Amino acid sequence: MIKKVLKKSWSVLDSPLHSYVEQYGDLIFDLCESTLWSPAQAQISFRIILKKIHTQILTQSFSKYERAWILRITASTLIELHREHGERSSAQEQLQLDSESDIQKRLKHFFHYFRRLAVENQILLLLKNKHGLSFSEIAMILETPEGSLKVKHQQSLSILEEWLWKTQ
Amino acid sequence: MENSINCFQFKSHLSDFLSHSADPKILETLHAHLEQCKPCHTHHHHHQTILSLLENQPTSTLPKSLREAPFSAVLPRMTSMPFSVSRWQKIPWYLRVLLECGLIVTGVITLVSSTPKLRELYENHIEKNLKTLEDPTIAFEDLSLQEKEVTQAPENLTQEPMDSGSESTELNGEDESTSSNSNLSGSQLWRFTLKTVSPDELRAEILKVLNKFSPPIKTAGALGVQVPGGIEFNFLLPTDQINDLKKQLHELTQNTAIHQQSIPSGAGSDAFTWYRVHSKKKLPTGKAQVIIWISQPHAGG
Repeated sequence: MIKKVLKKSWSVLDSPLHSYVEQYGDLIFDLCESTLWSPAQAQISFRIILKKIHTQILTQSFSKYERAWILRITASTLIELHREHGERSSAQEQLQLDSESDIQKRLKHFFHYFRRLAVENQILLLLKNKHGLSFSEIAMILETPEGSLKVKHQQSLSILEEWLWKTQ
Repeated sequence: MENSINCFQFKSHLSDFLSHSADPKILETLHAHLEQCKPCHTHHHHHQTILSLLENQPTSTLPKSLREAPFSAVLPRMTSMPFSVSRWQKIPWYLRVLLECGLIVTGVITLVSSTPKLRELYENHIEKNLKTLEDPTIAFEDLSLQEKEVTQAPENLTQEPMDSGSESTELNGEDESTSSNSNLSGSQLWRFTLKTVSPDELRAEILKVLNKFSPPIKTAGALGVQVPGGIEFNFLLPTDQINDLKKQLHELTQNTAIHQQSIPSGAGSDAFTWYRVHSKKKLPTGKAQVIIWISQPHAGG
């Protein structure tokens, strides 16, 4: 009964938020899970992001850049959460990964190496190469000049290359 | 744009090249450089591998419950690190600091105030243990004793019974009971010092002497405790039996074969000394505390 009422109130009162969830829910959730590495944490962070969007929707206008505005809130929240609570691979785990000489095995554990990147760079690579956003849109999301983003993108790839192929 | 580019120029365009957004005019030169330069070809291949791994990663979808009711759906419980801000963190920082300081101060005050009580409890416990060691039936209130220096032993001991009025003149050891401490309570401490080269043998003889008394003295202190520097007997004895004890101890040191063989020449006068003082200890009426101390004579005699 309570659930029904809540659902009803949600659909009636928060119709713009509802449409955001429908439109960008998967994208936001995937970003949460990819950066925080846990479905449980992703669900909690998704709710936090949604609450932030809900509070900022009344004060901020975004005109046609709706997705960039939502993803900007998502990215800033994820950066904050990752800094406070993000799981980092332990020294032992890193040593174990680095001691592996076979490149194919290293590539199998690619996402363990990916986790070592700065969270901003992780978001950049995910938005650019997993979700196919343009540099200009990512520049709006991360509030960074496009040129800097390209350099960061290139640097991230070089770092990953070094970690994965440094034995050769 | 020239037909050939160097590695640095290639790397500066690599990002666009990989994302297929490079200018068509320079695309040809980038391809040409790739075919010529092996290191750049390897880098390009590595970067493409990384990007394909990223692109092929499966995309997660929002759970149905969260999609339907984002604010009311039951979320998994996070025991280790909840992202939701705790109630404590919601309290303004100045209140939190005040509360934390208050708790620390309260803790310190409690610790400081409880320390003497704890110490008292500990001392009481130690005192109880001491009491059981000396005499389990007697409760001592104060362990501090007023002791005087040991004086030389008497040459002749009388056999008259103990009498509070005349004992200081009868016994030639130092007696404080009739002089400066006459205003103190009636508790007496008798200390006998015996010197021998073999304290263990003398200890056995003293035990024989103590066993002759009736009732026999059976407290832990009456068996003799080995302490640094000698052996100490510590027990309570009826005051009317003290003279007997004194006499027997004197005889023991003067006449027994142990004494004659063990004490070096010239040290005979130090073999047996005694003194008596008043004590603050509350003892049962008619009883006195007796300490017999057996030690070895000094090397110099």
